[in-house]
Amino acid sequence: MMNLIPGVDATASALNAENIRMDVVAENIANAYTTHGADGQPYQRKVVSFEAMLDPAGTGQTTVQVSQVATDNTPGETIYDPSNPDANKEGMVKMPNVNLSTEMVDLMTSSRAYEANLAVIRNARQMAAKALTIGH
Amino acid sequence: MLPIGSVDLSSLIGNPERLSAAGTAGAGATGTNAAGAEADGFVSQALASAAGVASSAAAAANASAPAIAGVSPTAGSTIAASDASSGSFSQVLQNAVQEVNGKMQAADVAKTNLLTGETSNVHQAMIAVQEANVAFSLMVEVRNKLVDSYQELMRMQV
Repeated sequence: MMNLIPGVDATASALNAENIRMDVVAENIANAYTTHGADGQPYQRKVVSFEAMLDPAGTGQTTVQVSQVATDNTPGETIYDPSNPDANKEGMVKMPNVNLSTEMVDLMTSSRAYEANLAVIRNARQMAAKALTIGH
Repeated sequence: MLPIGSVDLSSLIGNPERLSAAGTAGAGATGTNAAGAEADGFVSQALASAAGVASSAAAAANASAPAIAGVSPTAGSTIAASDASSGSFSQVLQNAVQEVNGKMQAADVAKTNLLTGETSNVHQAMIAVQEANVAFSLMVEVRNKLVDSYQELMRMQV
């Protein structure tokens, strides 16, 4: 298989990984006020971790993949809201441990990383196209 | 995102300098790119014309060989020997064109999967389209060189 665009497999895997990270950030923001999950507990935010791996397609490139989506177990804050159905006898409600500022920073980081990988693809493609003009 | 890809592809395929003869066929293939059979037909048509050029170039070379046989009789035999060991030139060319065709079909599949909602990875479809794009322009460059060499032979004084 000819590989005409340099580094395309590594970049594609990075775009995939950033997609998953974006998904997880979206989940966290969507559940920022979810006080009742499937286990009856408030939502715990999730974090992704990436790991390097050798390209399974055999191109020899080191690609990236999401190694795990782990749960952040730090406790969320407890607020006083007796009208909430999830409030205990004292009227206190356990909130998710999602901090919107942190999630927005994660979102920006992920978005910029995605852009960086797109720039790599664009430049690699331009290099290949320029190389084809040799001899013109 | 797809308009960008098709604009790129059509601007490349429709480039009149690069594709004088196959220009119209290329534009037709771009328009109906979603139909794999049509794109397939175009590539095999390009293959046929390229192979035809190659064989006629080879025929011209053979025809001119007797005229200069006295000059270098060994050159022809060494070329023939290397051809036999690594497959004929037209075979190599055919494999390359088939690979380009495969890339175009892969790009088609990626586009179809994206549009039918089977995958949601925009970037994978775009990368497949760009790979097919670059592979196609490489094939066009090779074809141009072949046509150039054929015309160079045709210009030879006899």
